[in-house]
Amino acid sequence: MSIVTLAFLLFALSALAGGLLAVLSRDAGQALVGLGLAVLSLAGLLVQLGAAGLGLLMIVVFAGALAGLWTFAVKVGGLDLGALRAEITRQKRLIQGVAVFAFVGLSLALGVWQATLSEGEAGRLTEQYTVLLLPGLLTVMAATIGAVALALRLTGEQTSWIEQFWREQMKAKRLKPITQRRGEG
Amino acid sequence: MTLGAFQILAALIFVIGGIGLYRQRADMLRVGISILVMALGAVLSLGAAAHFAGDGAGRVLIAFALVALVAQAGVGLAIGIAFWRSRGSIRLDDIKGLKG
Repeated sequence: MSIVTLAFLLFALSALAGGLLAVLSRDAGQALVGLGLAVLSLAGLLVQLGAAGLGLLMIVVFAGALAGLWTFAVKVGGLDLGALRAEITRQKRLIQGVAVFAFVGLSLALGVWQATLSEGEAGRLTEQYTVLLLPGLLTVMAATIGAVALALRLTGEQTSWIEQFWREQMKAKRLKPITQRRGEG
Repeated sequence: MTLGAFQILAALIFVIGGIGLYRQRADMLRVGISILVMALGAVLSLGAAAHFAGDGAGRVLIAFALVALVAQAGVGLAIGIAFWRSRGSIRLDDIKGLKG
């Protein structure tokens, strides 16, 4: 069995497993994890098809969609963050295993993709995708921070500096402007 | 790998999403997730077809499809949140009340 076939089977199985977990799970958090796994697997398959840019784009745009869905699940779907945290602590080994699996899989796909390129092509594509990657990463970071802040705010926990910042802004707007008295300054 | 293998996998993912859509008809969040899974199958099918046909325009089409997909998911979520704020529910049965 060649490495290309092995990578295809790996991604195909994890895409099917992720899809099944996404649609069959009763827990909204597990369903979103399943959708994330399916998205990562499909990104790997697109990389294997020689469309690494599309795989990257898929990860970036779906990260935003998953952040939105996560917020929606916490706010509207009744997702219990405390129970989820306890579940993550309980399933720590499994999560670490999935993370290693995803990392190895994506490395394998990138290796297969790079092996099919000449040196000049690889350098040119890396330069092009770096331009795509930077704004994409910034967007993902903003979406993730926003989703976490919203989720914490909705569950009644402190949102550290973000909430504090907005409170201070609103307070400053309510204050009367200070007029300078004659003879001062 | 052949085009057939990719297309079969894409069809399986699409069917899984369809099953989810059929099973979770009442909950807006689950319906959204199922539609996204179905769309992933369609994207894989398109990507494989574009690759094996050697057509660069197919990749541009996939990029558009991905962005449109996520944009419609955002609009769906916004409608869901607006509906939840006004009615306190995200069950699709309750959305019948939106009829004009």
